[in-house]
Amino acid sequence: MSQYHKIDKVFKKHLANHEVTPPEKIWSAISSEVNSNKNRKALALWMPIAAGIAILIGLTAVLTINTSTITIADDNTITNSNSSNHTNRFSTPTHEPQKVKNEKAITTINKSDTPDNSSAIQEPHNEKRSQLAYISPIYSAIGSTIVPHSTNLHLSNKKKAHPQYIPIHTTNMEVDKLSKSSFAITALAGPTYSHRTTNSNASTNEINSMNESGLNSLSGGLNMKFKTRTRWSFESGIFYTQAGQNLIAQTTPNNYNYQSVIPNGLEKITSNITTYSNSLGTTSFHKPESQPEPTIPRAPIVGNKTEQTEIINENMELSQRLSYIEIPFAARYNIYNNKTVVSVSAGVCANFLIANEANLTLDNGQEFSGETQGIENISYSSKIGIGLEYPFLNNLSLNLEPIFRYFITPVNQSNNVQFRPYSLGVNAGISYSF
Amino acid sequence: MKTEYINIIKECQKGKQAAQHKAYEWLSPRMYAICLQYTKNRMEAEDCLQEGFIKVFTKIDSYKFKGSFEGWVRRIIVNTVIENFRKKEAVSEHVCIDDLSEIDNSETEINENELNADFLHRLIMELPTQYRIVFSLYVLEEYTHEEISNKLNISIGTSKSNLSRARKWLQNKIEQIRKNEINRYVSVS
Repeated sequence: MSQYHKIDKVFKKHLANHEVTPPEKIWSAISSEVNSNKNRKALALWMPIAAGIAILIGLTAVLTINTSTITIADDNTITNSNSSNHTNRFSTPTHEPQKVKNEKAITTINKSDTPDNSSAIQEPHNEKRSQLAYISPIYSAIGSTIVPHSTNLHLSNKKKAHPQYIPIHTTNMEVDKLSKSSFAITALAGPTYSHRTTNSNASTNEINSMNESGLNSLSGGLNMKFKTRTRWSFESGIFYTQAGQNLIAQTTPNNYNYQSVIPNGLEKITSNITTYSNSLGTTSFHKPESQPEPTIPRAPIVGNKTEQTEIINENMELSQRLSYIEIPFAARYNIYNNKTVVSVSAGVCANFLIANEANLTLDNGQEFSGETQGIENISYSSKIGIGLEYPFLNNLSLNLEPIFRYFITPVNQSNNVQFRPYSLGVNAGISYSF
Repeated sequence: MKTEYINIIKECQKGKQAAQHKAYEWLSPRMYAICLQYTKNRMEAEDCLQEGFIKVFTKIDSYKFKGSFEGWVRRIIVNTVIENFRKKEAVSEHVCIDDLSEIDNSETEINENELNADFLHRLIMELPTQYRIVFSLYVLEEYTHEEISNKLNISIGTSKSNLSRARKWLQNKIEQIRKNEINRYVSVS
């Protein structure tokens, strides 16, 4: 026997049945892939239907949104003023409504500001606002930022993208290509901090900084993902998100002088509304019927002049909260594709406004609820995120993703200040792959 | 084939996960060893093993209980690793031999008592990938040179040349190791 036959014989003898134990993780991947293949064809039919239902839900929310209605009841005036400026603010030669500086009408009242620093009151320009009983302070922000509300995007597929193998010698003539694409549904929720950016047309002299701060909220929803054979996947879904801001400010008396600012001889409208304007827009508040009349002394109107009186400055806290149904469209790329999958995602979202709430609390304990006017029903945002996915059962994975979202279009209709929320949040959830 | 294995296969054909797991535990160690022989590293071997068994369980309905089930699975695994090699490696008609040691044509008796599976497995893993695949297909899978040339898309002459060089390299390697052992023994004593 030649030596070659010997060496062949030696290797064949020892290696023909050689065994090496493979890593345990391989079976999990095999099992999930094999068993998900069974449901894939049937479920592939339902994916477009599910996506369509999600869009219909969003559109239905839009169509059923009850945009703000203002009911008018009793007067509700809160007047504060600094005596030193009171005369300047209230006294005009003709007692006609102070002319608004139109689109640049801005008066900022900061908690730390003294009345001397405030600029003149400006009357709102549009007719609708002029019908209101009281002209509130018009606030604007300097370069304050809106935090877009983050929603959740998430990875769901734990499988790696494997190359497609076609055996060279197949027993049949069939070409049986295995599909490596897959689908996944992820349920997600998490805390979010929202704030905003603003672009203002007002002059810097007219704009003072405001005590506007961000909003904490929870967001959540369902994410549907289609994973291709490569590291890329594409996602959509439906989420509930919030955007808005909180504000702490100090009122001034001029802002609540109601009679002198009613234009065109209109009757003073009995109203239970207080309006308040800031970077997001003008908020109209409803005074509950049971609410007692405010105890803050007001400046009485005598003839064409307003008597001076001691006015108490009033602190207030305002919370403006916009709720949205978000429909995202995003792409995701797996940068680390092992048992734990690390990915990055980016996309755009359509946001449908479903709720608009504003709550005002005064130092004296009075509370008012209302809505911010002029909010767009549909806004668009962008988002980016970094996802972590860890499989823990056959088709189930844990997901964790910090995400940043920024509104591309402003959420308000104002020409003065464009309010673009942004948000930063962390979402966690569980995904099911099939 | 044992009745137990026949039942496992039938349950696999019904899609029972428990049976699939048993079949995997039964065959995966041997198949993983095959994957290691045909790939560059463990990560590739794991990918091929996973890919191969996915095919096995997906196409298990096509197994008609004619011939060995292990042989049927082995063919799928071998085809999978070869496809992986063809996609990832540039199959060459002229394999570089720079990394091969000096070929010693001395006739060396091979003492089988000195050899074991782990040693030979580690030895064969030192071969360049194409040599290793040709040697494994010819010696372990008993493919002909014509079949090897079809699988790897190389000429029959290249297949024969690769096999010859792989044999000589392995033989020379065994001889070197044996000489080193003898020298160590001499120096100690």
